[in-house]
Amino acid sequence: MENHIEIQDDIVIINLSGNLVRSTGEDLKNEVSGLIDKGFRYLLVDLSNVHLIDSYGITVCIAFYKMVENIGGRLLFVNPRPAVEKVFHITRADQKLQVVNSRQEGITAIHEKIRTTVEIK
Amino acid sequence: MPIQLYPIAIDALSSNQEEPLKVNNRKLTIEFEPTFDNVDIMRSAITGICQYSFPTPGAEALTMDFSLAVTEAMTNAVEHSGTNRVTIELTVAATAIIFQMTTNGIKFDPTIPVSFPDLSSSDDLPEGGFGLALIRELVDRVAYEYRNGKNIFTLEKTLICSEKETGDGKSYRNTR
Repeated sequence: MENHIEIQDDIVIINLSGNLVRSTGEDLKNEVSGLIDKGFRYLLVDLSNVHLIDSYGITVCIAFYKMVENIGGRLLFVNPRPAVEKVFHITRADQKLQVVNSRQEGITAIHEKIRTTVEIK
Repeated sequence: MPIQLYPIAIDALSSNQEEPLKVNNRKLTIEFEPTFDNVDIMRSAITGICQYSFPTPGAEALTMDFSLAVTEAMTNAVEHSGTNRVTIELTVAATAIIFQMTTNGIKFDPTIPVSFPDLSSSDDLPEGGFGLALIRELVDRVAYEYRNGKNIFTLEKTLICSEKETGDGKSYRNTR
């Protein structure tokens, strides 16, 4: 699995490609954990090029969700392929993990979250 | 460390891509060291065999389901069984594809109740325990046998065949 990271404003966009499975998930989990430790709270995980996700990949995604929720941030998954979306659905992970159709949709949603958070403060 | 795979046997593999349905059974046996990298290699091989064996409409979904189910089985064996070898026997028949995995690790309990938790009402989100439930969801038959100190785990995906939908006399298979 390869991943490419972009940062737009305060949003980290993680582009994944390949398979999110047991052999690849641990490194990704550590990488995202490191980003959160550096203070990033808003994450877009682009799944467009992920061909297969297994149960370990799902637990990695749930771990991302918990990390981001704990710091009041927001995590969105972008454009999963049907095979990946199916696993999100079967495992009921889609009850917690929010999926958007495009990066732009995700960026807009996160900007809204940031704006709301600032207004409340 | 180099990855080591031990191919044991390939029986009756068809060389005729035009008429794969006419081959009764094709069987591939591979033994490998229990590493996650080897699981990736085996998944790639099995995915390729599925794509080769089922060049029909609906085959992509079948292939993904089966590849994921066998990935879960192999990963579980590597992670939890303590085996020092994993032996896979893959049988491609006209009506089903059958994956049989033999390991010599600790006895596996296939009767463990498994289900997917309702995450919508849970604050304590689980980070595991989806694998066996996924397998049961993705294949049509799961069987387990403990014999002579070996765990024998079998997954079967049935193919539903229909020639009526094509109307052209060709033997396309519809897959579940």
